[in-house]
Amino acid sequence: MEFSLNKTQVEIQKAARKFAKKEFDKERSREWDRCCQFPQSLHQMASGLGFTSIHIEDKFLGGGFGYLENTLMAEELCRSDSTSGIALMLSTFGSELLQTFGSEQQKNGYLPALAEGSKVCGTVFPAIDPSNLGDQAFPVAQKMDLDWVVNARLHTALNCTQADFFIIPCLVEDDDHKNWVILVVEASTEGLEIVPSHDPLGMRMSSPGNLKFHNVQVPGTLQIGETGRTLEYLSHFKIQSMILVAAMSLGIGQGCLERAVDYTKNRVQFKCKLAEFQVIRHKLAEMAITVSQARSLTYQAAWEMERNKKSSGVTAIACLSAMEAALFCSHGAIQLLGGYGFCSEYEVERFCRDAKMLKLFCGPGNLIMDDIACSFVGKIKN
Amino acid sequence: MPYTEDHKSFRESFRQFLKTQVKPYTDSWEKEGKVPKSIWKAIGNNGYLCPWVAPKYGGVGLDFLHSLVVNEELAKTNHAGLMVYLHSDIIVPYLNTFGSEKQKQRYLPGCVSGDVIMAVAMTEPDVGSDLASMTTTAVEDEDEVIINGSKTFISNGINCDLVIVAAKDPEVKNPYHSISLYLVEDGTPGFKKGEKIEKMGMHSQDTAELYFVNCRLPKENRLGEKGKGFAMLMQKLQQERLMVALQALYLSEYSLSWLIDFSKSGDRLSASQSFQFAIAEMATEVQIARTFLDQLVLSHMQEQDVSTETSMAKFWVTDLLKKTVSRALELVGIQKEMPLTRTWRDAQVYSIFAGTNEIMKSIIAKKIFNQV
Repeated sequence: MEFSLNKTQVEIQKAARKFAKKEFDKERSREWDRCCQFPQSLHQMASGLGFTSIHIEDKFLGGGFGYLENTLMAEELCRSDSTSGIALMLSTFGSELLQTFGSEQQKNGYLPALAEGSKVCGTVFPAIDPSNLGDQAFPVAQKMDLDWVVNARLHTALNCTQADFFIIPCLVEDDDHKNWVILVVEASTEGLEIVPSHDPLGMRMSSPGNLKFHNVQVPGTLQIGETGRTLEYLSHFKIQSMILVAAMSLGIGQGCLERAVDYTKNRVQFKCKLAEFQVIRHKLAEMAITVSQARSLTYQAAWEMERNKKSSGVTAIACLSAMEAALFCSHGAIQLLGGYGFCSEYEVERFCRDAKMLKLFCGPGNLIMDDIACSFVGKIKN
Repeated sequence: MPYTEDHKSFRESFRQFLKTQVKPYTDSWEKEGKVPKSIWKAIGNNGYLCPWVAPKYGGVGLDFLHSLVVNEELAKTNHAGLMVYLHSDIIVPYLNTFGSEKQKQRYLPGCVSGDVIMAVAMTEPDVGSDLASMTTTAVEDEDEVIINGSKTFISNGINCDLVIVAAKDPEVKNPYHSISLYLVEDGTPGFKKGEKIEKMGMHSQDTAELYFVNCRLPKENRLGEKGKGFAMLMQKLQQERLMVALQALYLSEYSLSWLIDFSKSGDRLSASQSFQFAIAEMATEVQIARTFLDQLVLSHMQEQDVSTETSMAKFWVTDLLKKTVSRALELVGIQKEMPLTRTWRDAQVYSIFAGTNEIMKSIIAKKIFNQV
């Protein structure tokens, strides 16, 4: 077993760090977060450098790298600025589904544009609980000749303001009520109503929101893969998503830890630097423990997926651990910064809102625990 | 809790007031970043500010439990802007206990009517937990006092009509004897209010920095004896911590109540066993907090020294608030209408203000070890 990164991976880390240091600006990020604005200029630059398409095959203008390289990029960007990092990494979120299961025509139609940054995709985390479909509101698609007609009261979406297209899993309206289909829906399609959230908790540069579908017609050529295998596609995509969420969360945790160390080494109360007090040092140690654990698990999950093309269950554990690390470290940082921790002028409260939103983005809390239990408890014979 | 019929009807009429005059506006106050002064006047005119103040100072002479009724009902409006508990039950008591007859006649009626909104200024940009190290100075000179310095994170900072400012006599070296408290009216030359501070939560609360540049006051504006500032602050902290702990309790109960109601609106959540257990755990912890605080309120009303217990309550219940609302959000996931996202953002400061939870633990430990 080797626990070190190879030369390319180290180069990618360095390039990401350099970019973030040069281009991310605290005050500007604060303003974009306040106005819920997508970081257009950063997106253009990052796409130009290939940062947002590391995992897209090079024949589609991507970097042609794997999960671990993408993880390193996500970690570095989010460590430097959680909201910008998330916005950049999620600008191509959904491309994984196209790349793994899309037709050549679909791949050629969308992947190069995503890779060069001329298009943005709005996909949500596939938080589908197959054991309890009844209560979850999903869009419903009805077959009409070769095409589909989609209706939905309200469907969660990302990148509402800037997405050129959305990737939507729909329940098929048929006698079975058990079939699914994944459709690519262009943002300009008639009948599609895009409703960005007016005051989202976090991830504000990624404009989370909702979509309403009023008899939206989607050509059959925009169906991804075969109707019968959709849940299998979503299951695979969920693993890919969890690795990305873990990577972004890891970055957030690391970023908060560094800011907390920095502040406590400088702030003086009772004639000492805060970092001299034992309880403060122990709190920082607790934060470092969570980040270390999250990093090992996340890198392992990425490496395993790259090698085996499937997950042993470590992915869900890594995702949960990293999300918890991000929350623990951001809450810890707020507390250590005292009154300043609660102020928008200091970044840690924004990192905390982003960490919270990222966890909520993955669906209600129980789903991931169900996944973890499934992976090792196995089927129960009755 | 010894609530009477009178407390019950007081609660009912206040609920009605909140329904028509507060609830419909909280969303816009959150957007604007402050509450209008008019709501303070309305709430005061209806008798809900400082209900305990004696009739000779314009009050109604009700009891501490009336204050609790107001604070509990107001907490359910899920916004921090109209910080009545701070005004009525943390700051005005300083005036009532330490004020001269003249000061009380001059200011207390306005505190009751809502015409005098109060703030207290202790914290400075470089001075938080280490209060004794404050640098704002008060130089007494014949009939005047000249104040210089800046204070930050002051609640009601923009709306306040009167501030209690803690400042030091630069000639007195011992920090525990150099601090005095001064009453500074809005509009006093040399007293400037800064911009509103943008925060993670409590968006409707007008938290601000306050600046004093050769701010001159008549000496009669000193509150209490010179040099006794630190002792006065310490004396009033028991009630301050109790009020904050109570607020944290009310918000925890509000969050849990919302969560249970929400889960009843569909089958998925309430059918999940781990959701049911989570509710059981949260309900147990909140019940324990309620029991502890009810007991503490009674002891406090009997004027017992429960400074250690209130420190325990402050840190434990504020941590519980953060834990409860955090867990509630995660159990539910993202919903279109979710008041708890605001509660969550607001909750984060509770472990920090009114004395950090680390300071609370420090106090408790000292008390325990000094008793040995």
